[in-house]
Amino acid sequence: MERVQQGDVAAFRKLYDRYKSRVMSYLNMMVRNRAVAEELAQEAFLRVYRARASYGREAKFSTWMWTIARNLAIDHLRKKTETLLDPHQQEGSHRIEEIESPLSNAEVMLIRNSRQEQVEKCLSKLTHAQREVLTLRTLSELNYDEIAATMKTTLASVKSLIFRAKEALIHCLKKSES
Amino acid sequence: MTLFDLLKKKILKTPRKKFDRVFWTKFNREFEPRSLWSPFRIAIPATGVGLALLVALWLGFQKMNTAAPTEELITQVEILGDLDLLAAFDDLPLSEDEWEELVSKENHDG
Repeated sequence: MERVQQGDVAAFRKLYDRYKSRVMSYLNMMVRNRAVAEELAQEAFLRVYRARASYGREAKFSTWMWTIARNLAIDHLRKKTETLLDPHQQEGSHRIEEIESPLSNAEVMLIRNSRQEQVEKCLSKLTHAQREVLTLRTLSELNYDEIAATMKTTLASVKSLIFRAKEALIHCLKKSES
Repeated sequence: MTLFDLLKKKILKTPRKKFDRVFWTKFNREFEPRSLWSPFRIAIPATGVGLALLVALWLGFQKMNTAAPTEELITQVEILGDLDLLAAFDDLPLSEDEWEELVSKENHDG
């Protein structure tokens, strides 16, 4: 990132290549429109380069970049007047081990055998905050604290949202299978 | 295997082929360094200034070459002639009486 800050386009190209698919996929899950997601992803990278001088070393680059992508998605959804669920509403007390616990064999098979469209359909049935937190955890490689910082919410809220998202997703896939 | 590993395979998408081309076009449009002295940046305003100068010069020549109306020229020649005459009188060492006599003759003749 230091090289990018000095205007090194080759270094920026590496960051872009590393993150473009994940950022675009995250935005696709957020706005549920591939063309819009691609446009927003392009804008996110342009904003990263535009604001490179203002990037503070105290934050991890990936957290900063995901925040930019998230803000773009939120702005887009607000323009579409979609009601965003406040992630603070879903406080809970779940431990990380509980959330990260391995799936049962049946659950693994369930997800593995589900078609991509079916998974996407079930994800779209989650609340906005559940879908966002699950997508961020899956694609961003951010830890729970960093996800909380990106979403401007608490760690407890993030854990609760992921736990409920996981339950709701598996329930939806089971239902669609039967 | 965690939920997230499985889910990643289902939701991770590669951007379409044109994604990169469109992005780098936008990027270059906004950030590509432009040389201050690039030929086009100089050539276009320089041509404009050159043309304006040519037009101004041409108009100036046109104005100078245009013949003044004949009557106006005659009047100008007469005025210049009178001025010459007055200048010539200025050089003559005349007394007040001689001068009055000359002026009265001039008025009488003219």
